[in-house]
Amino acid sequence: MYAGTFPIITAEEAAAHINNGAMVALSGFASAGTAKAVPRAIARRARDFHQAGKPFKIRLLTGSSSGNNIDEELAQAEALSWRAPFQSAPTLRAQINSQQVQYLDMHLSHAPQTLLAGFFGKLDFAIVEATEVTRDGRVYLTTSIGSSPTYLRYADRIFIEINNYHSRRLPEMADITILAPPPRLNPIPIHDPLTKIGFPYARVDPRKIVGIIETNEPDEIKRFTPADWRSKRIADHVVRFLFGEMITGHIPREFLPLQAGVGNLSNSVVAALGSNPYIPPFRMFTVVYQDSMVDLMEQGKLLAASVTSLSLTPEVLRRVCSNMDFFGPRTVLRPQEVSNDAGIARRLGVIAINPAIEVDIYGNVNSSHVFGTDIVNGIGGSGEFTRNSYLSIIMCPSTLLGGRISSIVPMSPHIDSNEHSVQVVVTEQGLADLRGIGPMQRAKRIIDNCAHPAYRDYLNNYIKESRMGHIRHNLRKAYELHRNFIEHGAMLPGLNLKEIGERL
Amino acid sequence: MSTVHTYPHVSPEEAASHIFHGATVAFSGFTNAGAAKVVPRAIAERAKALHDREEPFKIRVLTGASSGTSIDEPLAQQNAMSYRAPYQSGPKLRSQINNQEVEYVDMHLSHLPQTVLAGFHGNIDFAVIEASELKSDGRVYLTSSIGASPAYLKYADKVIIEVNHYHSQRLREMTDIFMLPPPPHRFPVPFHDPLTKLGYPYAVVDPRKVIAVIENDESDKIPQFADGDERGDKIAEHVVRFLLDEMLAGRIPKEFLPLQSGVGNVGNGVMAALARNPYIPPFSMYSEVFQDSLVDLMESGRLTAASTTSLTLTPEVLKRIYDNMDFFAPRIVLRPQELSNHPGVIRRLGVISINTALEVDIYGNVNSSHVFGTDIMNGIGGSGEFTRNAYISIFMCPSIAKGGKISSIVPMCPHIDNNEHSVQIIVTDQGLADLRGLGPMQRAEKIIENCAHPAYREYLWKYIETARTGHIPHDLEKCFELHLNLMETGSMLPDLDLNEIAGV
Repeated sequence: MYAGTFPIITAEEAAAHINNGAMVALSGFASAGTAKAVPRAIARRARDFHQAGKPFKIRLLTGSSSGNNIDEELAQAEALSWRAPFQSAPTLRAQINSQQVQYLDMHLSHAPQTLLAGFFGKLDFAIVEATEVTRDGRVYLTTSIGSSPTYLRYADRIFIEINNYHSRRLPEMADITILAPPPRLNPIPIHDPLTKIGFPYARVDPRKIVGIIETNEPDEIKRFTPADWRSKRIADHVVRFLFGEMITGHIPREFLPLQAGVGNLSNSVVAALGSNPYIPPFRMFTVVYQDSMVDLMEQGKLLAASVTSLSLTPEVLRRVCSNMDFFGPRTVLRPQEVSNDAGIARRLGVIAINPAIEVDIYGNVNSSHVFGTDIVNGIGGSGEFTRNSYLSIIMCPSTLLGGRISSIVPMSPHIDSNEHSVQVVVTEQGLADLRGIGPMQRAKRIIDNCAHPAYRDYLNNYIKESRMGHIRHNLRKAYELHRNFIEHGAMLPGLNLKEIGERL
Repeated sequence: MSTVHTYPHVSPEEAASHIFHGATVAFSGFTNAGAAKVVPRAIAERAKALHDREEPFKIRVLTGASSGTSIDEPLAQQNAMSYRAPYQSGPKLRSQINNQEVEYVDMHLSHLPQTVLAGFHGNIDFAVIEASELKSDGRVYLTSSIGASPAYLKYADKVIIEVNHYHSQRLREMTDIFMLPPPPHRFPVPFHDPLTKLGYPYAVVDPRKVIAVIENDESDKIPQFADGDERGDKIAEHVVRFLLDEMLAGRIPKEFLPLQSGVGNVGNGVMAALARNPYIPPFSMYSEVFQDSLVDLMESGRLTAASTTSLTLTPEVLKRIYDNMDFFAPRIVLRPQELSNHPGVIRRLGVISINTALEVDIYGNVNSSHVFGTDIMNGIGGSGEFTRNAYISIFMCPSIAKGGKISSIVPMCPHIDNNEHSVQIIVTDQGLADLRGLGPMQRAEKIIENCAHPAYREYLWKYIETARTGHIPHDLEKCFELHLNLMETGSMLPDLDLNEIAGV
């Protein structure tokens, strides 16, 4: 369709348009549907510039993380000065933590709205992966929608990477709409994870398209490692809890839509829910479609999924695309502004299940910054779902590094989701239901049910020695565990780690 | 009142005699507006009598939000509470909470009806609700607040109605009551405008549950706000200039966006300043509390519409409304707090939220509720749901308090109600920091340079310089040094020359 309409150029020719200081937006969400050839060419261009002693850094937006495809290559070429709204690449992470790159860690549904409102300034380029673009400017996206529709509308100049690797039937899942700026008049009429309200394609003003780059390359999606015994135990606690909620009528018999964070732990919880015969078939209103969900959908356990990306390993993606008659009607790919919309998550009564780095004894959750200083990835969608869900569940193993780190601490040094929004905390030790109780009652449950036994005395003593108040704290000792770890490599240097191993 | 004759009319004492030790009692009232009045006093007297006889008597108390004078203080004076949710503001109760004598659950206010429905506060034994009229078929016409009363009327085992003849029978013209069904079968809340109505002018109760009706004629006990001070005026000036600039830059449409403003003097001052400015167009509000200053604005045509859950007005001002219902009734809608504070509606309408903070840290995290991270002031109230979902979120506080002994800008907040991911604008008397699109270090620079009091800037910069580097530099040893100094010496920086500060 595009041949003869738009110039077909090489990735290098595309990259040559992009200069130092440009603001560039790429398609891609959780490594799915990312632009591939042009970002790599930009990284090479940056290296050439730097070798010639010339500056070259760009400001980069994506849907969310783009892993090794983009972030890692651009970071290694020292080509980034500013990054939003999420990242997960090791070199970029190090550059952010050494203040070489300015990083804006955002609620993901805010990204399109923030750009459209002009809060980020001008967007010079968008580079978007598609299966097809038509003469009149219809752009059929690939395995993720993310913020691409907004980037296509807002950018001054556009490059489209036509990736022939992807199935041309992917648009059957796509439901694209750009929400009007406020005060927009109409509620988003989504009544169910599968409701569609938009079009299978994004739109672009064809005059803005500078060129088309043809590629043929799968998404680079990492396989999850098999669940370890702690993940399995955490999953057991979550399944038992949700089953209990159903028996007591807190969750209706038809169940409620689930949201699950990205990663091994969430993957194993979803798998455990799917394999439990007493949990009815369920739907998901979530962000990322992961490998484990494909099995569940084939088994009839997962009835429907609303997501913004298909972050599937190539073999699993092939299974989906070769059986589109089955998967197409059961999956909706939405822009991240809609997949993570506060109003829909609240309305549908989503059960949000997200991992944490650490949780404090009062239920405040750190999802993003080790020691409060070092970014891991970012808050992602965990804040918007935790805040607006019907039931919010936060999970982590009780200890890490063989017991040197307790994930239950007196005070979180960074708070992504706070005590007002976090309802249930789970570790392999057990589950703490915090709904309807005050801070000291929450602390007791979290320490008794979730903290590792080796850390319980310390945590109870912390409270005992704390200043009296609604929430008891000792501001001198609140971060003693963290400081111990920074200085001695263990939160409680006196602990006998071997004993912990046995007690597990 | 020919319609109430079918119910048992009793004295407050007789009504209170039903309430047993350990009961969960839900009162009407969002602030002191529409609060139950005579029965809480009678319960307090019952507590006193029982305690005099050394019999135990404590109840678990729910309301819409704070009802200090009418409910919290009388009951707290008699040590009659063991549990309180979702918000409070009485000095005696506050100290009981901070001494761990009362369990307090400090909640997002829109969550309350949903958590009651799901049973997280336990069985609701009694609801005590103020009404202007109770029909024999169970229609309950509420008074100057809606709050969570419709949910309490539905879920309580037994109901006591205070029919208050002080209130205008025409309040129902403003009232729009609708209860959201449980998830997942919820339709989008079809509000297109702060004035959209979708429900009924009355709440409903099963008449068989009504065990007592008490008549009275008492006004709401709403205190007058103090006049603004110089720092408040400067804050208001910064906010007005910022919003004007946003409008000129096209980031706020010419018709403006609906405003939400927190309760209190500073919020009041900002609203008045916005209204005085001839370049700000007439605006609407989607807020939770309708305060005195708004009545003037509505009369002068500056405020065109208001959605709220309570009319928190001093008796003289409320009377002005009652005397001019033809004018006010079509311009105000009184909603249940689940809808006045609904995340989806706030997001969709693009509300500009303006709230006050106790303190803000250099990275933009806000403490709205706990002094030193331990001592509750009031609670998070609606500030979390509005800030998290607003189009533009603004936080205000004076740069210093107690003549300079306290800086409101600190290295790290010891309690975080709204975090850096949701807070966009910080304003003090010193100036305004626009944090949108900035990374943590860039935010810190703006906050320190624009918002911190000059006397504290050097300390804050030093904190960053000596902190552990990272995406967010922090020193976990020193992050609460200012707070600890204040606790121990009465001043955050004991060596500061306070005389010098006074003029700045």
